Amino acid sequence: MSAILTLEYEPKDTVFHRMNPLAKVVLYLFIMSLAFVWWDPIYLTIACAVTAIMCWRAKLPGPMAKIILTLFAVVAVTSTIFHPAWLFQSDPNYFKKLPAETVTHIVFAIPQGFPFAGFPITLGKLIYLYSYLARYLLPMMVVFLFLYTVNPSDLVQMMIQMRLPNTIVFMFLSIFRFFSLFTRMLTNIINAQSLRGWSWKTKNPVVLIKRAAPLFAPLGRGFISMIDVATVSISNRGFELALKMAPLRQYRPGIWEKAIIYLLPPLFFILWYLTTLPPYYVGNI
Amino acid sequence: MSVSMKNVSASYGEEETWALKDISLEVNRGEVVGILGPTGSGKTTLFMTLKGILPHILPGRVRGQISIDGKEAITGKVAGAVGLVLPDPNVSIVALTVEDDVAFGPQCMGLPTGEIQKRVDESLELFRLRGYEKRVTYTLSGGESQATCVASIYSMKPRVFALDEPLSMIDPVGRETVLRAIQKLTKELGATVLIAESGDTIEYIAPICERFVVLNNGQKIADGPAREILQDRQLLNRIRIRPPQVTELAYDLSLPKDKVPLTVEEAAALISKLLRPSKSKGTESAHKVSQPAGSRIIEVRNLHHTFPGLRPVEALKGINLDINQGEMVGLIGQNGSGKTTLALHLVGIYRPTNPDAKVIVDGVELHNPKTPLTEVVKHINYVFQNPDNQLFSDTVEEEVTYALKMLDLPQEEINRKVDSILTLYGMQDDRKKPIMYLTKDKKTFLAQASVLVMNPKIIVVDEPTTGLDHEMGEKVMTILRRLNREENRTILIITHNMNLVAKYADRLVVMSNGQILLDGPTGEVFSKTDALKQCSISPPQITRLGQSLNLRPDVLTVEEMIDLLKDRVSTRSNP
Repeated sequence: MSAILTLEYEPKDTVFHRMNPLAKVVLYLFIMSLAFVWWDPIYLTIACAVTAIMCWRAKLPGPMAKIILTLFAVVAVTSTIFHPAWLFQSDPNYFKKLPAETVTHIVFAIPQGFPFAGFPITLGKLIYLYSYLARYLLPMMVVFLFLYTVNPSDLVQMMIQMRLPNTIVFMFLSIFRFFSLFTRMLTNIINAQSLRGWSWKTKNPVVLIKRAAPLFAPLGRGFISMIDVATVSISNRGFELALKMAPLRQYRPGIWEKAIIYLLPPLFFILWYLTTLPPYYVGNI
Repeated sequence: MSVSMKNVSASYGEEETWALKDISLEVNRGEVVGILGPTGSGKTTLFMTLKGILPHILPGRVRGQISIDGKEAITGKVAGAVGLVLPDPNVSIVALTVEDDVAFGPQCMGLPTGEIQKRVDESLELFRLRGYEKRVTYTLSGGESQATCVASIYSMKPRVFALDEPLSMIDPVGRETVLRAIQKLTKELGATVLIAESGDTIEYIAPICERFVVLNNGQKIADGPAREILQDRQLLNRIRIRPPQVTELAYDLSLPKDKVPLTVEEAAALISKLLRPSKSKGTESAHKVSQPAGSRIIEVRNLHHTFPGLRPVEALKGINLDINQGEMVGLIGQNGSGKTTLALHLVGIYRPTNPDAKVIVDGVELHNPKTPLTEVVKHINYVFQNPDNQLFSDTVEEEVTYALKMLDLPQEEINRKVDSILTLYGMQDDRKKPIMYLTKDKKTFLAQASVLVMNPKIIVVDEPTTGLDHEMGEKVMTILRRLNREENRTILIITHNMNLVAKYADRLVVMSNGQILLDGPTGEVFSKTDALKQCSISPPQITRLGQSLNLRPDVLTVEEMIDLLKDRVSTRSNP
C-alpha cells in the first residue's frame, strides 16, 4: 500500500529535489540515454553505480528501492530464460572491440544430466547478458528517481515558462492527473478490500495473481471514468481560454544547472558518435 | 439577463432518456439562486450543460438554447464565463500543491504573473488556506480539498459561479466562510451564483438564496422565492428534502406563514415575541448524563501520527480515548483535525509513528505492527464514504458473500448471514442484480451491508449519509441505531453533519489540530459554544435557537424543541 503511494513525487530537501526542473529532466534523460548507447559492462556498471548514489542522495525511500530491485529481478529472470539471444553471442564478428579469444573463451559447459548438456557458456555470452541486464537496471533507477524528485507542478510551470504549446502542457497535465488519480484510487480500493479480509501477502505468484483479481473490477470501472475525470478537471479550469499562459514562478538555473542544460545534450551526441562509429567504439564491446 | 436557458434537454453518451428535460431558466446578474433536488434529479447535469462540459468534453446530446450574458453558449466551447465547482474534490483538483491549484485557473486565463499571485493570495486568505500553500493536494482532508476547489474557481472570478453541493465536506465555520466569499463575489463583482443542494446543508444556503429552483427527475417542478419554496411542505416531501430546522419548527408550531424563519436569528426574534413566560428554570439540561453500561472496548493512549515529507504533518498529537461497548459516538471536528487518521488507526490501516503509543481494540493490539489486518477485521470495521471504492463484485450476492468466504465460514452460515443482512437493508429482491445497475443509495446500502455481514463488534462509518437524500439518510441511520440499541454494537460516526450526530449520537468526541478538544454527552458538548468555535464547529440550528431563547443549552432535535415550546407559544397572537 505504502509502496504504491511512493510511486509519486515527495517533497524533500535534497540536491536533486532542489535542482532546476529543466536541469533535472536533462540530467535524467542523459543518464537514461546512456543505457541505449553503451554496451561496455564497465561503463554501464559505473553509470549504474553513479545512479545508485544519486538515488541514495535523493533519499529514495526503501519501498521504492524494493520495487526497483523486485522489478529488476523479474526482468533478469525472465530475460535470461525467455530471451535466449545471449546464448548465441559467441561469434567474434558480433563484437566490435573484444578480441575473439576473449569472446569465445568457454567459462563453463552445461553439465551432463541437464537439458542441452555440453552447451558452452562463453565469456562473450556472459558479457552480453550482463550488459543487457544493466541496460534495464539503469533506466529503471532513473525513472524512479524522476518520479520521486521531479515535482510535476514545477514541470508544468517550466513548460509554460518555456512557451511550449498548450497542447503539450495539456497532454502532460492529463497524464499526471491520471497517474495521481489512479494511485489514489488503487490505495483506497486496497484499503477497503483489506478490511474485508483480503490480503495479497503470498510468495506464490499464481496465488498472488488470483488474489489480485478483486482489484481488477473496481480498477477497470474506474479506469474509464478516470480518463473523463482528468479531462473534465483540466477543462473545467478554462484550459485553452488563453493562447499564452503566464507562469506562476520563474525558474532561473544556477551555473551548474546551466552547465547541465547546455552541455549534456551535445555531450550525449559526442558519446553516441564515439560509441557507434569506428574506429573509437568507446563504451562498446 | 445573466443566464438564460430555453427548453434545454441533455443526455449522456448514447442514452435515449434525457437526464435534463425541457428546462427553462432565467437568472439575473448578481442573483443567488439555489437549485434544489434529490440525488439524480439533474442538478449536476444542469451545471455540466451550462458550463459546456456536456457535450463538448463529455459525450452527450444537448438541445435548446443557452446564453450567458446575452451570448449564445451552446455552439461554443466550454464556457469560460462559468466557474463550476464540482461536488467531488478529487475530480476538481488539478495540481500537486494548493498554491498551484489555485493559480491554475488564472494562468489558463492568460493573466500576468503579478495578477495571478494577487488572486492566489486573496483566495488563500479568504478560504482559510493560508499556511497550506505548499501542501501536497493528495495529503489534504476531504474538507480541505473542497475548500481548495472553491478557492481555485473563486480565483478565476467567474461571471457565473455554479457550485454543486459545495459545502458537504466542509466544517460548519468553513461553510460560513464559503458563503461569505459567495456574497463578496455577488456584491463586488456582480457575479451570478447558482448553488445546487440536496438537503444536508440547506440551512446554510437558504439565507443567502433569493430564489429556489426545484428539480425532480430532470424536470423543473417549481421556481420561486426561497421562503415560498421552503414553506411548501408538500413540495419538499416530494423531493425528499428537509427544510432548515428552524423552518421546520415554524411549521410544526403553526407559526404565521408570512414570517417563515430561515435563520436562528429570525426564529429567535419571531418566537420570543410569541413566548409566554414559564415557571420552570429554563436553562437546565434535560439530558441525563450517564456512563454507558458496557466495558471498555477501545483504548487509545498517547497516539501520534506524523505524515513524512519536506514539511512533516503531525496529524495526531497524543490522542487518549476510551470507548465503551454499546456506545454510539460521533467524531466531529474541523477539516484536517485528524478524524479520519484516528479512525484509520482504530481499524489498523495506519499504525502509530511513536513507539510508546497504545491502541487496543477489543483486546487486539493494533499498535503492534505485526498484528495482521485479517485478525483486526473480525472485531472492527470501516465503511468508506464512497461505495464505489468498496464494491468490486459483479452481483449483490457475490459482494456480500465475499468477506464471509475470506473468513472461511461454512456455506450454510454464509447463506443465513446474507439473507439476514439483505433483509435488514431491504435488498432481498436485488440479490442477483448486477452492482453496476444499482442506484447510489442502494450502492451505499450494499457497501454497509458487505461490511456489517462480518458481524464486527465495532463499526466506524465515514459520512454515512453523504450523497443520500433525507429519506434514504434516515433509513441508513435507523439501521445503525438498531444495531447499536438491539445488538449492543459500538458505532463511531465521522461526520460534518451536526444535525445527524445531534439526533443519533450519545456521545461526541471533538477533534482540533490532531487533539481531542471536547469529549462528552452530545447535549453537553453542544452547549459549550465557545470551545466549539475554536474547532470551527457550530451546533445545530435548533440547539443554537434554544441557547438564544435561553430555554435550554442542549436541545438536540426539532421534536425536543416542540415539546419545550408547544405549551408556551401562542400562535394566535400577531407577532
